Formats: sequence, structure tokens, C-alpha cells
Amino acid sequence: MPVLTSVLLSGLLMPSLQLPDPPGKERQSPRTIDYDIQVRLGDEPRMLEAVEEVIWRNQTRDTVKDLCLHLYLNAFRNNRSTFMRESGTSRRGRRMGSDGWGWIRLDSLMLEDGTELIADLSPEERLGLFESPDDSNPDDRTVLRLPLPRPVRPGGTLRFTASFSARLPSPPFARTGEKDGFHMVAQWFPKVAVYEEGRGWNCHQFHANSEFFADYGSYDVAITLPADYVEQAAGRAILLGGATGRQVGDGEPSADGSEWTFRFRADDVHDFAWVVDPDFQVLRYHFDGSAADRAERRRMAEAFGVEDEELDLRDVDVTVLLQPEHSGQGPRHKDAVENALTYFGLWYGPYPYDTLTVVDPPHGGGGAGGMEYPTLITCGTSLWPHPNRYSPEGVTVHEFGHQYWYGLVGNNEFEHAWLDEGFNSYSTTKVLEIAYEDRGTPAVSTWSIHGRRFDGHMLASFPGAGAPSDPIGWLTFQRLPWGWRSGGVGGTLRSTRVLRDDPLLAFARDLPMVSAVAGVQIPTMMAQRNRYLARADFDPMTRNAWDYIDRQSYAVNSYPRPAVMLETLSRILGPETWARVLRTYHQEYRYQHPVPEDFFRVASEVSGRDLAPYFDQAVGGSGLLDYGVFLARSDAAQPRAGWFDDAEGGLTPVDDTFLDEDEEEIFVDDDGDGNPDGYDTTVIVRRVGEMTWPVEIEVRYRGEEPRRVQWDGEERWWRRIRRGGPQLEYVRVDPDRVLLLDADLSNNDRVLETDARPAARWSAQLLLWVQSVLHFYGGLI
Amino acid sequence: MKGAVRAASEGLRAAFRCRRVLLALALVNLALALAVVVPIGRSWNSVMGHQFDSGALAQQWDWALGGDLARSFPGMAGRGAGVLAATVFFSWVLGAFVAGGWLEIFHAYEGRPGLRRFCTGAGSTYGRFLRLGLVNLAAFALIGWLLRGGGWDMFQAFWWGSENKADLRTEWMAEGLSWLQSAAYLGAMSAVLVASDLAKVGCIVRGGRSMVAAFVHGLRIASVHPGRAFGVVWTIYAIEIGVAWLMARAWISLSPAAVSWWGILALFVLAQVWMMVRCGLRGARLAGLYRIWQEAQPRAAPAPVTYSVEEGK
Repeated sequence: MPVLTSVLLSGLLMPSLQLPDPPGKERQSPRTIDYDIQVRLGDEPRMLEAVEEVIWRNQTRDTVKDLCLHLYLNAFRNNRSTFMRESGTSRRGRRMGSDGWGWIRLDSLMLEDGTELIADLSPEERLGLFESPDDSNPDDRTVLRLPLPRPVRPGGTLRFTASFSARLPSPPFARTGEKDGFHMVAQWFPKVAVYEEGRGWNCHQFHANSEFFADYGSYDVAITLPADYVEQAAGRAILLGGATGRQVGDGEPSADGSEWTFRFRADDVHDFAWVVDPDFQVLRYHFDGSAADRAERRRMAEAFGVEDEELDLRDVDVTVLLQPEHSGQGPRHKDAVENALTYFGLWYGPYPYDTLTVVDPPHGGGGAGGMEYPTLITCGTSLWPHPNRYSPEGVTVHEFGHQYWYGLVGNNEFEHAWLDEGFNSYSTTKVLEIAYEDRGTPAVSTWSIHGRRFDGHMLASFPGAGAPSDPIGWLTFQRLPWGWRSGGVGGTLRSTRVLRDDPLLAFARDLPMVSAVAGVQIPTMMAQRNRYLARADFDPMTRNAWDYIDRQSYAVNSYPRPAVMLETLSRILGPETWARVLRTYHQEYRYQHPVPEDFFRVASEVSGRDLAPYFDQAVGGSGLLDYGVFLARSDAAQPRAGWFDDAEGGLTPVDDTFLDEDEEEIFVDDDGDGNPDGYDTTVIVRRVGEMTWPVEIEVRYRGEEPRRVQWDGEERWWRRIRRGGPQLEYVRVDPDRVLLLDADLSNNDRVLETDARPAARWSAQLLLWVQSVLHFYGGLI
Repeated sequence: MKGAVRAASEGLRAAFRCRRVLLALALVNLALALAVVVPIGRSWNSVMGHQFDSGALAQQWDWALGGDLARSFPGMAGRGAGVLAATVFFSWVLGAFVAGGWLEIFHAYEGRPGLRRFCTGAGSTYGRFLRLGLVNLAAFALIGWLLRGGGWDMFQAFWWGSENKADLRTEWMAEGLSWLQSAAYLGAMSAVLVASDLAKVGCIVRGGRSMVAAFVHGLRIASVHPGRAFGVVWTIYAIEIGVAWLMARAWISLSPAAVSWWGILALFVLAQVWMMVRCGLRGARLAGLYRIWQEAQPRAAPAPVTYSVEEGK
């Protein structure tokens, strides 16, 4: 056992240092588990030495005979771990460096009665404790199962003390790691899995596509680190960093002043992360809950049927840890955080914690960016953020949103990633829409050189990358969706790396080509929908995170597809009902571990509708929703021809025809004289996709008001025939665009009088682009 | 620099005198582009033409249709790609023809700059200029490898210890390095274009069959007279950027009116005028470098004046 660990352990074995609950702060969560950790950032780079004292309470009716621990950092131990095999040793744009590996080693685990479960084992016996329940990978070391000498009875408590050492990856990889003194310390300690009654430990390996799952509890963590991370200001020692929860007291120096210890306490959370960087600029703000958007508060109060005051928000101390290069971006983070605190709070319930820390990782530390921990989020930005873009706001709002969807409603991210990512994508989109409605997602009007965004007009570029479903490529013609990148002539050219897609190259080679569409913005929810279309029918949402067909399918089914599914549901139910559904679900499952069926139940109960068919298909299925006009024609009616009965019972030749051959048809005689003048109209709407849901169809005839009919959408098609009467003007399927899940909205309208202007206008745009491309290549010789 | 501006100015005058040539070049460009665009436009029309609010769609793209259209026409995209690849290749080989035509006109400047002369001259140098184009491609490949490809990666790894700019200490360093790299890249690409154009001038004026030698000679002139040679090219580029900006403003201003056929026609005409201007600017670049090439040639020493004196007469 390392000397340091011994020292720390000796300290820990003294009477518990656990703090009492603060006055006035009632217990919110079940507090299944308490951690009391002392950790020291070691002398060796990236090394942590720590001891944790854990109290786990068996709140089930099962007798628990073993203990399951997550050792997440071992995912980065070598290239044979399940994480690395699945990710190809590359994640978030970074490849694991040759000396970048990280790991965690559990040196000792001692029960309350002094029984040692680790230290006394032989190396072979220690290896035997690891298991790989998901893929049987013998090289994975992220799950450890320890048999307990004495089972933990229902209502009983397990206390143990574990000493461990850990090495962080470098540079930060998949959320955690170190770069140039910046330490993002996450998933860093042996973490007890979630015990589910009747099912046992829910303890999955760390996968490339998965995140985490843990019980709520309290954390009391003392962090010891070099004096480099401390700044003296106003007579106080300020930590250049932050952590989950709130700091308890001031930092305390060691006897020689070379180290400082800071202590943090967090209650009713299910994870603990901390971050330090000697370069951090520390900005502090105070969020005034009483000043939140009053109009929205009024609207929500009406929807929930409560008084405005009942929706009051709490004050929050916000700390933004910025890189010096991004020092000018503090107000943008502040603005984003305040918007997020306001709207999430009004919609779902107040943010219950006192603090929030926003972390801006350094250059090259992007692997730590865009991640959420209780009361601490990491963002990501770059030099010169464009004023009209959602950066850094988009990430800040999204990661804050996880305080609600993941933090407070603690679903299992291994098994139901969409429950937090999807709800949060939906909620983020809504916050961005309401708070930054003037921005949208600039798509057409921006271009970049060196990552710096410009807008107003765009220099069109060489046809480059872009999936066929990439609408931006279609409109901007910046990235036409054919396979230049993947093969053909373009692939060959690219293989020389002369013409590869690159901002500056795009500028140089197109100099000075103009695409010139000003200021067009894509509505944010439409951006989600376009992303969803990329993998609309590959998987159901309800898969384990690592079980999707590929990473893109995981991403689509966890983020944009559920967001679009929820938006569709909101349009089906209407805004007030929908607001009640989401708030009820959130409130009911705060500090709980809901599963999808819990949400399904709440939605049906609150809305008073049986939504099971919707969820079965939209969540549990992979079929597309797509209704479209198959046929809409309106031809001049043919006059009757042939012999017909006359009034005397004989046959009379007539020259006009008024057929009524379809049971469903509506017989219309416009002027009542039996003259079948007018048009014969046939309308067929087809269910192209597999998913069924009632859909509205609007039909309009010339000179008449539009008529709407509801089709249950069950059959493969729906037909209406009208003989005689005015000419059909148009047919619209889902005219109010309720069913945003519809995978092809382009087939929803059929106006009989074709208008060639849109195609001509956008063809003119394309023509200019193609002419410019041809001109450019003609000049290369 | 004054010489460069003068050469560029003369080049502009010379190129834009040739209205018929400009019109012909723009029409060829248009015809090739139409081969790509018309099938796509027809497919778009089959969907867009039936939309409920087509007027608004003409003015502003409906993002709800973006992904849907792309999903509806994956085959069309593939076919369009094939046609575009073919026309790009054709444009590239046509570039050799066009360059020869321009230089023939400038070389015989006293005559009437007609299309016939343009085509005759273009035909006489076409094979050589095509080979020069291959030399250009090789040079582009080398520059790409050195400054944006594996060569740069090795250089960066040697000098800064990592191929990845994310490993640099600060974002400013990474940005600075990117700008440096890009400036070098842009300069090198310009050098190839300048040397290539000077090589073409040399071919016209001096003859010769080796395009590698002509390219090297052009490179030598560019290196001996960098201010004038690059000055001409960048003056023309600066004009092109300025006109492009004006064009963009005009295009953006006209776009809201594109709900009408007149508006669409206006966009089309604007695009064609713009392409004609670009064709002229390319001609001007060649004309300016033609002038620079001439100025760069060593002047023959003046013949010694000798006087004969008949003594004793």
C-alpha cells in the first residue's frame, strides 16, 4: 500500500467526518449511498491517490450477497477494453495517445468489521473478480463484483473503506483527463452500482456509446492539490477550479504551504466530479430566481392551474471557469445559464441546488467538453464565437438541461439513453427557441475560415461531404450530397489530399465564388428533424446504448429522434396538456430511476388518452411514419353516354353521365338540374410508412371552403372520389404539421396547379454554383 | 507594384475589348452547367411545384422539406454527380483551349480580336497547354502534400511534437499556425498558377515543346520579379473579390423578388453577367502576365553605333 494511501486511510478510519444536513435543507432523495472521499492530486502527473468511505443502504426487500463496483477509468487502460474496442481508440475527435492511457486500481477494500476483501487476494484471485456482463470481454476491467462474507439484509447497511489510485488519460479522452495542468476528474472513483429489487445489481461495462447510472446520495470530498491551483484574493484562498456541490469552509494549506485542501459537500446527487486548471479565470454570478421571465411564469401557472408565486425559482450561485482565451465569453455563458435556469425551472420545477459550475475546457481538452455532472457542467467553445450562432449557448443550455434529465430524473443511461438525452434535446431546443428566437440555427448564411464563422453571404465550395439526408448540402450547395468524399472522382482527388474538404481550401479554390443566400435560418426543431432523418428507421429507441446498429443510430435514437417524437406528441396533445405531462413526469420521478413505461403511463394519465399505440410504434418500433398524397386528379366530367332508363320504364339514349360507383363517394349536383357538368375528382392518400396514427386531410375545391377529414391511418390508403362539382384545388395531408415524425413532408401537399417558380428559383441558385465550379476548374490548367 | 497595376489595367482593357469571346465563353460555361442543373431542376419541380405555399418556397427554403427532398432523390444526386464530374473534367480540358485563345489574341494585339483568331490560336497550343495542365496538377499535389497533407504533418510533428494542433498549448498558437500554414499554401498555389501562365506566354512567344521546362522558366520569372508577377494576379483577384461582393449584395437584394418570374430572370441574368465578368478577369490575368513576361525578358544590348570616317577625303 502506498505511503500516501496509508496516511489518508489512517485519517479516514478516525471517526466519520460526515457533515450533518445543512439547516433548512430537507432530504430530497432516497440517499441510498454516502461517499466520504479524500483525494490527492499526486506528485506524478495525472495521478490520484484516494481513500473513500462508503455507506450503502439496502433499500430493497432483497438480501444482497455481493457488491458490484464500476471502475470506469479502466475503460482507458488499454486498447482491449470494451470501450476502446467499440470506439476504435478514438472518441470526440481525439485518438488516445501512446502515453495517454488511464486506469484505476483498487488497492484495498475493508469492511466495517475489518475484513479485507482485496488486499489479501492473489493476483489471480483479483483478476477473477472482474466480469463483463455485456460482452464477455476477458480484457475489460470496468466491472468488479465482490462476494460479501455477510449478506446485507433488507434495510441493512454496508460500510466499507476503499483505497485506490488512478491515472487520468491525457489529453482528456471521453469526458475525463488532463492537459497542461487542466484536470477534469470524472468517473474517477470506485462507484457502487445500482441494486434493483428482484433484478440484482445493474452494473454494465463502460461502453463507447454509453453513459452512467448510479444511486442518489451524499458526497463529502476533500481534495488536496498543489498550491499552483490556488489563488490568493481578498485575503482568501480561491481554488482555481470547482466541483460538484458547494465548498465547505475555506481551503486549508499544508504545513509547508505546498499543498491546499478544499472540501466539497453535495447532497441528493448521484455523481461527483471536480476540475482544476491553474489558467482558469473564475467568474461568479448570482442568479436571481425572482427575476425570471414573468410572462412565461404566468403562462405556465395558467397551464398548471396554480398561482404564479408557486412557480418561484430559487437563487443560484453560478461560477464560470473560463480559459483566458475565452475571457470575453463570460456574459454569453451567464446569459445561457440564466435562460436555462429560468425555463427549465418554470417548466419542470426549480433547480434545487445552491450552486452551478460551468467549465470551459482548454484548447486540446475538448474531450472533457460537453458533459454533465451534478451541479457541474463542461461546455466548449472557441475563439471568436459568432454572435448569431448558438455557440457557446447551445452546449451550455444542453448540459445544464441534464441537471434535470439525468441529474434530477436519474434514468439508466446504459439502457435508456433516450430518456435523458432525448428529453434534454427536446428541452434544449425549446429553451433556444424561446430565448434566442432571432437566431435559429444559421445554416445557409455562414461559412468559415479556420473555424471562424462569417455570414451574410457564403462562398460556395467544392462539392464535398454530406450525407444524402443532409438538407444543408441541398440548399446551400456547399456540400452536395453525392459521394465525392467516399469515392469516385472526388474520392480519388481527395486521396491526394489536395482537394480535401478544408475551410481555407474551400476559400482558395472557390475564390471568389458566391452562393449568396442571405440570413436564412433553420428552425431549431427542424434541425433536429433533419438529423433524425439520417437514421430514421434503423433501430427502435429502446435499446441498450451499445446495441444500436452503429454509433450514428445510437446518436439519432438518443437525441434528435426522441426530441422529434416528443415534439410530435406535444402537438398532438396541445401545449397546456403537454406542459402538464412533462412537469408531472419530472416531479413524480425527481430523484428516482424511471424507465420508459413510467413516462408512458404519466403521459396517458395526464392527457386522458391511451397513448400506448403511439409509444409502441414511435419509441418501441423502428417503422417510419409517412403519409403522403398518392393521387390527386380532377378531370372534366365525362357526359353520360349510352342507354338509360327513362321515366316510362323504357330506355333512352342520353349524353351525360353521372356515376356513383363508389360507396364512399359524395354525389354532388351543383345546380340541382341533374346536369353533371364539373369535374371528376379522385384523391388517394397513402400510408407509405409502417407506423400508423390518425391524420388529418384537407381538401379544397375551387370556390369552396377547405374541408378537413380525419383518417385513422390504419389501412394502407384512403380514397375519396367526387363526380361532378368544382375542380379540385389542393389536397394536404396533416395540414397543421402535427406529425413532425412524418419522414417525408414533401409528399404531403398536392396542389393541382403546378407552380414552377420554386424549382426555377433554386435551380438558378444551383446553376450559379455549378457555373462557378466549372469556371474554377477551367482556370486550374 | 506600379508595374503590376499597370499590367493588370492593360490586361483588363485588352480582355474586355473581346466582347464576343467573353459572350462565347460564358455561353459554353452556361451550356455545361445546364447539363447538370436541368435534370435536377426538373426533379425538384416534381415536388416543389405541388407544394401548398409555393410562393413562399420560392422566396425562402422550407426547412421541413430539406431532408425530405434529399431522401426522395438519392438516385438523382448520384446521376447529377456523374454529370458534374464529366463537366468538371471537360471544363478543365477546355481551360487549355481558352488560355491558348486568349494568348493568341494578346500576342497579335494589333489585329481584330475575333472569335476566329481566338479559336485558331487555341488550337495551335492546345496539346502543349494540356500537358502543362498535368504539370500543374502534379505541382498542386506536391504543394498539397507539403503544406496540407502528410508532409506538413511530419513537419509539425518534428517541430512542435505533434501532428495534431489540438496538442499545442493554446488556441492562439493553433490559430496562428493555421494562418501561417494557410498563407504558405495560398502563396504556393498562386506561384503555380503564375508560373503556369507565364509558361503559356513563353510557349506562345518563344515556342518550345517541353512544358516542364516552360513551367520552370515561368517559375524563374515569377521568382525574379515576384512583385510584378504576383502583383498582377492579386490585383486581378482583388478586383474579382470586390466584384463578387457587389454581386453578392445584388443577388441578396434580388432574392426576395424571386417569387416572380421576373425576379428569377433577374437572378439568372445577373449570374450570367457575373460569369462573363469572371471570364474577362481570367483573360485579363493572362494579358497582364503576358505583359510582365515581356518586361522580364533581358533586353538586347543596343547595337553599338559606329561611325565611319573616311579620312583624307
